[in-house]
Amino acid sequence: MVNKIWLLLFIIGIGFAIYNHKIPEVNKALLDSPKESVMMIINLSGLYILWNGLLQIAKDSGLIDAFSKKIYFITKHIFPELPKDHDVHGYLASNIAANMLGLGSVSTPLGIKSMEAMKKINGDKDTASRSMITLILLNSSCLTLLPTTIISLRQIYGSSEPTKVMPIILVSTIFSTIFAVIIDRVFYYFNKNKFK
Amino acid sequence: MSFTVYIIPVLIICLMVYALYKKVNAYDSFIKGAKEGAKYAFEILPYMASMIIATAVLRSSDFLKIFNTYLSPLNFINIDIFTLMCFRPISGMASIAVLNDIFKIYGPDSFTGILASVIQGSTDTTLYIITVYFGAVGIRDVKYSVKAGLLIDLISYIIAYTVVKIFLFN
Repeated sequence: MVNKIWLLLFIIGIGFAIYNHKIPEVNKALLDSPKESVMMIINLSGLYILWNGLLQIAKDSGLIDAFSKKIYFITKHIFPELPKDHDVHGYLASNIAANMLGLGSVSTPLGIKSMEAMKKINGDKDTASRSMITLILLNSSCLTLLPTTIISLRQIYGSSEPTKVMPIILVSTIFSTIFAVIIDRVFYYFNKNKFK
Repeated sequence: MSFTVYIIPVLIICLMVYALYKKVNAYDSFIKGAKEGAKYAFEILPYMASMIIATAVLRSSDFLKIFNTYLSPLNFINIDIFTLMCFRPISGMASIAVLNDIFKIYGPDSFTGILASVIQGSTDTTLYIITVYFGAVGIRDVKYSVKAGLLIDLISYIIAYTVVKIFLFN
């Protein structure tokens, strides 16, 4: 899917530019954007160094494990289908914890591990199970407590208060996660017979 | 200055005190994590560049401006916020590129800048997650996940807009 979208961005972009006489702008974009992407990585790499370093301290001091145990009480209600005391709960909790810290790179491998476990629970079928879809929807609504990347970008562009958005993001991320859980339930209710 | 400036420093001091209490070699841990972070930043450069270049080409053609006429009745979202909403479910790199441009054009403290921050912060790359998560474990039939995921994104955008309005104009 990413492949098709990527190709379409170029085909529509250059095609429309020819039709719209915007070719000089396209050339300018082709020259400037690679340079911009390197600049952006330079800006972001410092951020990754700081937050991955801090996350490692949290892991090594047992904070992440403690957190995973705490949110088990919530995850067992959101994923009613999963057997109790299964390893999958540990992966799920770590996936949610990494998302909360705004560390998408860390959360993806943990999410995939949860998916593998859920596939086994579902008898290795190649169709999505209810819990898998719930996991996908929770990840896509993304409960973020520390939007680290956004704060750093705001700082780079001279925001007078880069952290000002934190409470706003917190409130809207809580609401959107609640809606994600509701929509998951509603869709499941109307598609129940598809899971048999 | 509001209380939000304290959030990150206070979290860090709590983490450090906890590490001291647990007798963890925090410096070694930090270096271990930081190395991974540095490696990761270098590894994502090609992914980042590929998406930034592709979105820059599309945006330079003014293709998305066609939607301007349809957007004008909804005067609360401008073309750049609309672009961010289009790219956010597809790719994190592409949406960060658009966010970057919005900060450059409008400034991070403007209404548009704050709305863009909240949209980026409270949603994730739905279509990318569906592709990667299901792809990695070989699921063919994804059932209603695309429909439900995109509906959640739409609702999240509306929530983001409402919450920003309430916070900035009360």
